[in-house]
Amino acid sequence: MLEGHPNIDFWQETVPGMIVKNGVCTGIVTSLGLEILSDSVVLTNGTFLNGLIHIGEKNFGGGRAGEKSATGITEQLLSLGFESGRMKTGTPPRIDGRSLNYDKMEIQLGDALPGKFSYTDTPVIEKQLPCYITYTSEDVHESLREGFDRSPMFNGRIQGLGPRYCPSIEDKINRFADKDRHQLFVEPEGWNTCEIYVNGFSSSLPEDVQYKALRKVAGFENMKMFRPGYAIEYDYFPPTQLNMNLETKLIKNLFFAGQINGTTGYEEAACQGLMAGINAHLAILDRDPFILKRSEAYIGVLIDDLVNKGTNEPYRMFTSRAEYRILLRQDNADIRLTPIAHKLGMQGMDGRLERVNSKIENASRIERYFDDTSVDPVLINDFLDSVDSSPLRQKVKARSIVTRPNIDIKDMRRSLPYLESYLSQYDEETITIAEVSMKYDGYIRKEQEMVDKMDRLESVKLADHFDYKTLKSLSFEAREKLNQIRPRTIGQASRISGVSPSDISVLLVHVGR
Amino acid sequence: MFPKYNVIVVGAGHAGCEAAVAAANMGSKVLLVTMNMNTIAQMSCNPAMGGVAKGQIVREIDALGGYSGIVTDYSMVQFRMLNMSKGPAMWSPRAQSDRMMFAAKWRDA
Repeated sequence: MLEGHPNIDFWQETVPGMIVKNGVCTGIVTSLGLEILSDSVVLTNGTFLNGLIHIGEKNFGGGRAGEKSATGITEQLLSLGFESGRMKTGTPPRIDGRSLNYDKMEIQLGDALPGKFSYTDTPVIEKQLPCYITYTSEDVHESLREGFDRSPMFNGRIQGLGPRYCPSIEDKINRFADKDRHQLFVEPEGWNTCEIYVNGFSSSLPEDVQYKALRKVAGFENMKMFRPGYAIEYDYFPPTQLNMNLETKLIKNLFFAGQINGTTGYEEAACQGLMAGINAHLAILDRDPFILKRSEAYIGVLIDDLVNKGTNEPYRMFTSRAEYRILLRQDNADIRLTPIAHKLGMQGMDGRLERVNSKIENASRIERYFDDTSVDPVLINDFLDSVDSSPLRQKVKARSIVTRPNIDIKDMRRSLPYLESYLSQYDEETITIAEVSMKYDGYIRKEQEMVDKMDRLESVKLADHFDYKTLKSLSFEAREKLNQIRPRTIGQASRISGVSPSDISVLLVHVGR
Repeated sequence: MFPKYNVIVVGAGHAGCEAAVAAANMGSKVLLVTMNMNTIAQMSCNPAMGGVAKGQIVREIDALGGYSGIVTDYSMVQFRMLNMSKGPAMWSPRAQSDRMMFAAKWRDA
């Protein structure tokens, strides 16, 4: 990983600023005053920029529990003409697993046949740890309410907006006053530690209030705390100040990724880092920027949303944010993206591309087999009956069985020995691709048609330096927003908030369509 | 004291680590600058990766050559595929990770 990479060096120090000359970033300045030069700089400051930690009535500068915050970068960026804002996020208490009574909680086991994330040959987990589920109660809520007058959330000390979908426990009992309990997930922090993460109990109430309330949770009667939850406020830069490659519009060769762009979540941060890293490299070589379309990846949806719509509360990804969900599945991410990474020149992709190609080929072989192979009623009717699916009167093609609701290949294999012996040559991943493709063929085709239609708008380029103020038939808001965001295509323009369909018609006429 | 780098990454959280390896794997000479070498790739909030929509993102990162998926596979203590009762667009992998192993694996030589 990082230390194994010959192209990566390390340096430990705080960075209070960048070297910027004539609108171009050429390196950084460290707290010791060292100037380190580079072709481009990627800022991934997380919650550290002017980070302020709140626990009850106490607050202190910090980027994370036990770590100091970073100053200087925000101030420099503001002086360069950037706009910044404040956001807030929080984390729950960590507690001592030895002090819990798990008998009073529901156990939550991992999958019997666990999967994994990487398409490379990483190991599959063999032994798993359980998580547990418990609940707050009216009693717990009452305890928490007693501390509300000392809550920085409610007395106005915290001004930053927090993540709507990951609210603190005090926020939850306030906003959902009719709910008499909230679910808590009791999650182990690792194999060799008794430390427990209390998911669902993020809080910035005073530590004594958190402690008293937690001890009223079922199974937590003798709970010992390692560290209280806290809220943290930090600076972010509204992401409408970025180009689609995550480079800032104001300063060339300066890129932002992660919470500095107003997002929340490890995954959201990590994918922006990846895209910023690739684009920082491409920019040096004057190569075209690497931009994923909304129809290619959730990563494309995320960056398109950030740059064109902006965000004033921590942005997290949902499936509902993507309009082409059936295309953007977890099982086909390699088919969608590995060929793109390979073409881009990302190291180590040769073998992976080969794997993807053989997966595609094998999946279509499986589909053809289902098209060509007949199923005998005698062999399958017992099974069909067991899942309430109407029995066969005569032989049909296997594909017409797999496309029935409530039926999957896994079950069919058990009833049909010849199917089992045919499929045993393929791995689960490949069979899943074939199965989804057969079962959801209609939906996939419909979404693909929508993508093709949108692509026609995406391919209509807009000039880089056109002054939209001169186009008087645009609404005033559209003129302003288009000059600010500077969309690259008509498709991108259509997603900017404040740019209406009639503005898009005007633009289409303007570019001669 | 320093050569001129192609890319300097400031911060070594999830974004910074991925930015550093992405640029490096494209061929750039990279300097990763962090306030504290001991807190590279911290899971400063929940010890988990993935979840609904987020799991899809981790798969995408992996497909593009990023390391978050690999690091999670080596450090997980539990794996669940969420939403298996719904359609395949909603299937979402989620893993609990060993927080210390996660950070150590990211740094791994």
